[in-house]
Amino acid sequence: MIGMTAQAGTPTRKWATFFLNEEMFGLRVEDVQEVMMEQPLTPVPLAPEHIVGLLNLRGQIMPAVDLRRRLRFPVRDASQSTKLIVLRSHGVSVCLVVDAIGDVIEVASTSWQAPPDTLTAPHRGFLSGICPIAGFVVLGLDVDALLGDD
Amino acid sequence: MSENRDRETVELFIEESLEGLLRVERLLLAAETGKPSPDMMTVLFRDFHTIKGTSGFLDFRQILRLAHRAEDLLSRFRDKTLVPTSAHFARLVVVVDLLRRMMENVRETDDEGDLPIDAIVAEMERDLTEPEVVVVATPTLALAPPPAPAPVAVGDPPTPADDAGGHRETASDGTVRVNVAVLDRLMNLIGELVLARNQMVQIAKSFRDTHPGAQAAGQRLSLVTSDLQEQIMKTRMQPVARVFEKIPRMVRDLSKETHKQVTAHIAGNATEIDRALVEAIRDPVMHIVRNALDHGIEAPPERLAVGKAATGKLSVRAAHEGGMVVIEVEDDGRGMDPRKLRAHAVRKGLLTPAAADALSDRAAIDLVFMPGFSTAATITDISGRGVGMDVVRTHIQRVGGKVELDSTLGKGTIIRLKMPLTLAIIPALLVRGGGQRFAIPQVNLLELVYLNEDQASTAIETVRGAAIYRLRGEILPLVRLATALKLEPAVPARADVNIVVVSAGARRYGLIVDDIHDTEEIVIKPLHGQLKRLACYSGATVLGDGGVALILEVAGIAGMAGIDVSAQREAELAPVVATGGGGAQPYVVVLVGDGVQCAVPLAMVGRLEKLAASSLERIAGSEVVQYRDAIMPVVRPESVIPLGLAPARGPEDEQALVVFDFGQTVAMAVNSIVDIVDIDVDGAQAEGKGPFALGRTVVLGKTTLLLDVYSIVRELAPQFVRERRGAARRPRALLVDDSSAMRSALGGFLRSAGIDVVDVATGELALSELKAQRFDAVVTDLEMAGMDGFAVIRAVTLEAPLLPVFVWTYREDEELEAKVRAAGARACVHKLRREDLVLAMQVAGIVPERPATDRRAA
Repeated sequence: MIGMTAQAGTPTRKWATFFLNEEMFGLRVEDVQEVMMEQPLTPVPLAPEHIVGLLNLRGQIMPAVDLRRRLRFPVRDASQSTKLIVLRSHGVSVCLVVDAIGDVIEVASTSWQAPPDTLTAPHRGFLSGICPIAGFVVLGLDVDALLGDD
Repeated sequence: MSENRDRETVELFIEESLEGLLRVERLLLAAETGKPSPDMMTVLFRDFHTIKGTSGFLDFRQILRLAHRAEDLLSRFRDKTLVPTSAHFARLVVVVDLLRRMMENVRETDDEGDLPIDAIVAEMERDLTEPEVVVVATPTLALAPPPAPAPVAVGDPPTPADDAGGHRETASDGTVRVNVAVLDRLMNLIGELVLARNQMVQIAKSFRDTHPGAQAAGQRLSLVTSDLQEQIMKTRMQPVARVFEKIPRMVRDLSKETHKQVTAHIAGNATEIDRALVEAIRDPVMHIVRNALDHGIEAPPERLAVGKAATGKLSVRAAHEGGMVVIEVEDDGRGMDPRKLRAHAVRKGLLTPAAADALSDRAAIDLVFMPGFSTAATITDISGRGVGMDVVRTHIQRVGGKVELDSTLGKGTIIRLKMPLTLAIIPALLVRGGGQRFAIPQVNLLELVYLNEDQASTAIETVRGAAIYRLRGEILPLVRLATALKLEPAVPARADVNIVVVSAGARRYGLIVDDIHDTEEIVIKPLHGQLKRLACYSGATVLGDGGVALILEVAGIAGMAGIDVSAQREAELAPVVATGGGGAQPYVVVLVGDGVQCAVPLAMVGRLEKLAASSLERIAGSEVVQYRDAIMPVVRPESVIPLGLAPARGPEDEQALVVFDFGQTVAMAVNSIVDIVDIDVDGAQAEGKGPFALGRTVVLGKTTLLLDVYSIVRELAPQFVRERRGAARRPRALLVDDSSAMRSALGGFLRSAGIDVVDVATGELALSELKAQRFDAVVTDLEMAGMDGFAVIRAVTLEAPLLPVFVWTYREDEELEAKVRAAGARACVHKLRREDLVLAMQVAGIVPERPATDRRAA
């Protein structure tokens, strides 16, 4: 794991942001291992639709989850480029396929709120909050949930 | 014999000594890999001393001799006049094993037996002549790292009285202790290195022309990497004792609990296996041992009643065998009863009664591997925990191993686990299916079959909608990899076919792939989350070119493709019970005459062939065809049954043939082969029965005549029968008897009667002979170890349905004769009346009426 660990009690936290269907999402920087350009993926026949393949990252094999499919967003055009975000959580690595990478921003812990009740599954399980100030959604990280069934 | 030796004292001695040996063994194993404490030496010394003393009193001289030397050796360790090495400890482990076996002998026979102890005693005596050294401090290696927090062993820190059997890896005699995490990291790194090597070697190849040195460098890298890999692999090895060490205790506890007497013999403690495997096999081995104690070995009264020793024997052995680790658990208990297993499977709803009946005994025993088949007749606390042999098999298969089971009713059971030495890096075959590369572990591979365009179109048949291929007579279901993985519509892009014949446990099938590439050493990387749940993959790997390939789990694919193993078995093992008893059997449905639908039992059919009509010839008024360098008679059912005339064929037309194997092949010419279907013979019988037909039934919506193949052949190919009786070839008999004296006596007699004889000592050998060559008769003894006479009869009827079997025995009663005949034998002959055997063979038309020499000459 790279990056810094937010100290307990500090009012701010760093978020790595990315774009999906023109919405901004955020991940805790400490969960992000690295960010990459598109890479060749090996498809996994019979795998759930959102697992779009396996990525070989320097000898480590991890599943690539297309977040658009996972969150039931419209599927992007074949021509649209993607970026990969490698996450590491509880010793398991996953690679997220997203539209574009945003900045790392610092947000006060107090400024984010629970997601509105109107948000429904499958989002619900992965989203831990929204931040009205920066206007982005915080993606709660549950790798198991990302890889698991709805 | 000592006058002190009364039964009770001896029992006590054995019990006490075995207990002591158990303690000794644990300490030795700890010491072998760790740092012996002075305290430990005292404990060891005391135990050997006790055994020595008592054995002297009871006058067990061999035990005394062994224990005495061991005691001497230990006294020098204790007094620090000799530095113990791992070689010393290994010798003491051998001593423990020998002593234990002697104890068992004493228990069984009141005699310690004659075990080879001279060598080990001599070794210890050599050890004792080594010059005394004064040990200032326990020797440690200069380079030994500080004690690591997590030593290799799991479990409690060992103390001499430690019961849990924990071990410590400490610096001693050329060993260093290394943190497990470091070993795991090394293992991962070597995995990466192997991959990088694979890539490098490929790149080096492409530089062959511009940089001539590149390839040599690549090869060197390759060699060093392989060597390094092997060495690092060794660091992960642990003795299988880690699994076995708990067995003696468990056996003791369980036998007390179940009021049984059991001695456990454990061998091969030092056999080394991958650390990960130790964990993987622990539960399965324990479960098998529990099963053996719980269900296998009988209570003493039951054992005595069947003439066995009151004390049951359980032996657990480990060994390296051809690059695999083999662990065997054997008991001399009651064995498995195929009849009960069949009945149980039916009761559990796992099989239909017909399917169960169709299973051979061998296959019935394999039923215990079926999920949901509880082996416990009564659920007990011990093994009735809902964990069955299917779980054992699943566990072992998961580590690339397999489980074999042999059981003889009344004699006992052997369960064999065969596993690869290591888990992390395995050889695998790379294949392509649906445009993607996949790896198939070598352990699942049986063979590769390539069929060219022509072969593919004829050799692949469709049975009930499923593709099958006959591989040397065995029905092999086929699965197209791309279709199974839903990769592309099953359009045969190429007309030729690559079949990878794979096996996973009892399942054996052909996987059709687009292409077959090389084999490669692959590093297995596990899949996580939802991917882990896909039954068709066991992991993924990085290939030499950096690409990723999924590793196929052949058992999972079989399941997904719906390969019905029981149906496959049915077809393979279906005994020819055209005569009575048995429910549905597979039949080959054919059209004969002017289009009448007929059926013949699949089990009698050797092959289905299609030849040009012109290849049929007429010789001396009979139709024949050249087939595999021999002349094969051709029969037409319509010439004995009024079925109308077959449509005329031009020489270019195809002629379908059903080839029967009666020890000699005979072909039946038919208009066409329709399908293979299950037919319930019992429901057919009555109507339509005639000299050449067994009955009539409705199959595939049409009235179908069940042909009596044997009668037809007999009627229509008398020249075939005559040829068999002619002088050209002497009839050949297969003689099965476990007494070599009897074999030689009867063999000589039969030979003098003009019969060639091949004699074998066991039913098992007989079966392999049957597969290897043709026989005209089988003569078998009834009472034999392993397969008995009945088993031989059954096996022969499966292998060659029309081959007559004669039983010869000293027993003489009508009931036995009836039983023997019911099992399928032609006749039962008393061993003292050998000429009756020749008469019986004459009646059966095997031996010419007038034998070459007077049959009473011998």
